Amino acid sequence: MRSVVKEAGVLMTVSVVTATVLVAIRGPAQPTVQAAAVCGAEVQGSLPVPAFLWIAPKDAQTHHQQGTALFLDARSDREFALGHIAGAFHVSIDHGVLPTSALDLVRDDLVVIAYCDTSNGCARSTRLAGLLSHAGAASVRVLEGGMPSWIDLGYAAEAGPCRSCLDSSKAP
Amino acid sequence: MSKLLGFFKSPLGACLTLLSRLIVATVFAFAGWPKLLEPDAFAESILNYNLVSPNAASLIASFLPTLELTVAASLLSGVGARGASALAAGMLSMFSLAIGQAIFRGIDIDCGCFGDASSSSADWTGLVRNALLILLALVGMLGPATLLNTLGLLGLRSKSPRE
Repeated sequence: MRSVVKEAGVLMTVSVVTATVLVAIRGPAQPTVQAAAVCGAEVQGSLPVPAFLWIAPKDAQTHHQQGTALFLDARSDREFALGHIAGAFHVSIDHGVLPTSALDLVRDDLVVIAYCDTSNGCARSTRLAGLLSHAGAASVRVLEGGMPSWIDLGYAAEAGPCRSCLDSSKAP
Repeated sequence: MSKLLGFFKSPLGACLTLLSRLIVATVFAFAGWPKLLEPDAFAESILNYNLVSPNAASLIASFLPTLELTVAASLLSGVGARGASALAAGMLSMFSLAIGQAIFRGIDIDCGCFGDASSSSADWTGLVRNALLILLALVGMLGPATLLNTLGLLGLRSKSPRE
């Protein structure tokens, strides 16, 4: 037993001396990043992007006339009041949450068309479409050119405050 | 106990010892080398356990790889193999405690067992692997003192110099 302890001591000494020499040559180990305590893994590849497609104003207009689409306006209350696609619902996602009442409107036989203006590549409508797709809506589209394009083409629009506002701040 | 020690002086016991030391040495060599090459990454892995300060992690990352490689070299060469086996068993016990506390605290991290060479979570698999290695290290402790003794017991050397 004594010889085992002696051997272990010699080996530890050898390794400490070797390590000291290495540290003297290349410096001590430096953790470059204070890694997170949980979920410390790196992101691998690209993250999944919710699936939605764009829709041309002309095709959206066809759906509008046939009553086969649900139009959801992702702009602000004020912008909606100034003018929106006739029959559209206003959906506020300012809080980053999809109102459950918006999902209640989604039906399998309706194409859901989200729209806003054209700022930042229709960021608000693509965000709304992403939330809807993620929540399970099967057929979601984003209107190309948004409301400005719809107005320019002279399609049916109306002004006034929303009759049934779907506000995410009231979501559970 | 004397019966057990007697078994490890038999050819079969010597063969078992040699095999055990070889396995432990291989694992330690493969574990130590990547850590020696990438001490910074290993220090990060140690920090992830949330057990020691960054300075302590840096110190451990600087010294542990050389100890692992020294143990591996000793086990392979048979010089001081019993002491190396004891050190291996001790280190493996410490590693198991670190993994165990990570499991207990629900910390999902890479165990850092083999540096950046391979990635494996600090989970039950690591604990089982360490338990098996501790068993092998203990077998390595009980066998003949040197490689020459082992070879002598296996009949591969005409006369053992010490036993």
